[in-house]
Amino acid sequence: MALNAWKAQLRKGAAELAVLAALDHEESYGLVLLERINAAGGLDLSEGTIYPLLNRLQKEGKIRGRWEEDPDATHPRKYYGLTGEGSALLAGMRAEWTQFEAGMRQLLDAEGRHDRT
Amino acid sequence: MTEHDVRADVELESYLLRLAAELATVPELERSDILMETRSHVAERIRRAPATTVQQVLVDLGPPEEYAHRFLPDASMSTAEPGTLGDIAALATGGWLAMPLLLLVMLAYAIAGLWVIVALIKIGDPAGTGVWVDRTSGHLVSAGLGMKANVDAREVIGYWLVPICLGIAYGIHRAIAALLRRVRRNAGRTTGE
Repeated sequence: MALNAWKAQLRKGAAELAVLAALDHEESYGLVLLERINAAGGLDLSEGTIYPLLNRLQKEGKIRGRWEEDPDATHPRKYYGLTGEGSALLAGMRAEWTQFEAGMRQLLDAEGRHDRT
Repeated sequence: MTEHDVRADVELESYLLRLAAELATVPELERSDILMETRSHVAERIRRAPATTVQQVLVDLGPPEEYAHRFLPDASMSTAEPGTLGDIAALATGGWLAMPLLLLVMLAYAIAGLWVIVALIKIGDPAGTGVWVDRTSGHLVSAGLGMKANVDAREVIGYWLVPICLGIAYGIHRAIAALLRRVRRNAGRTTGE
């Protein structure tokens, strides 16, 4: 139970970065974004989570949305793309994440060595 | 359209209606965008896997009340009750800026209160409260409360004094509320970063 609560917190914090990263260089709509993020594994975003998250990021000016009538779809799709602010934020988050990941990796590897000796 | 399609349609429309009702506080344009995207999502899921039912997709989104809640601003972001009273309560327990702001707010409300009192006195003592000008020259003679009628002067505002005073008090309240909203927004930006 404690592990699940921690996992939920971890995913919640990473979801924003995942969405911004998935939109880097390419516009996309909700379901495709969700598939792309979940295909990478680990995050397990739900359909009921991604749209409110996109809504918030758009309101905060990090992404922009536009409706598009694709010939293969029966309904218009809402395509999202990064704004300048979103791109800058993504770059910052990417750097933070890399640093965080390296630090944690070092810590966990050191712990692992202690356990073995 | 088969009976099955009709039932699916009713299910989707009733889901969207409940969703819209829960999103009543969200601006109109944003709400219609959310509803349209939900509709688009259901259509997209079914286009990809035609065996999927509308009901299945809606279950995946979650109950409309719960789903709608996720679009509303995070309740944990602001601890204070919304509105001026909540802002004042937050000020009383806030940071370094809180004390001078609290004094300013108290002073402003004291002034607003005085205007309300003037309005009440006008109702209680209509003849003795008002603004008097000289009958012949039109110059201001006196203004105030509990005045004795002067034969050479006439009162010019009459009962209009009541709405004017209440209007001034309300104006002060709105100005303070706007100021507090701005302070709260700025505080939110600083702590949010």
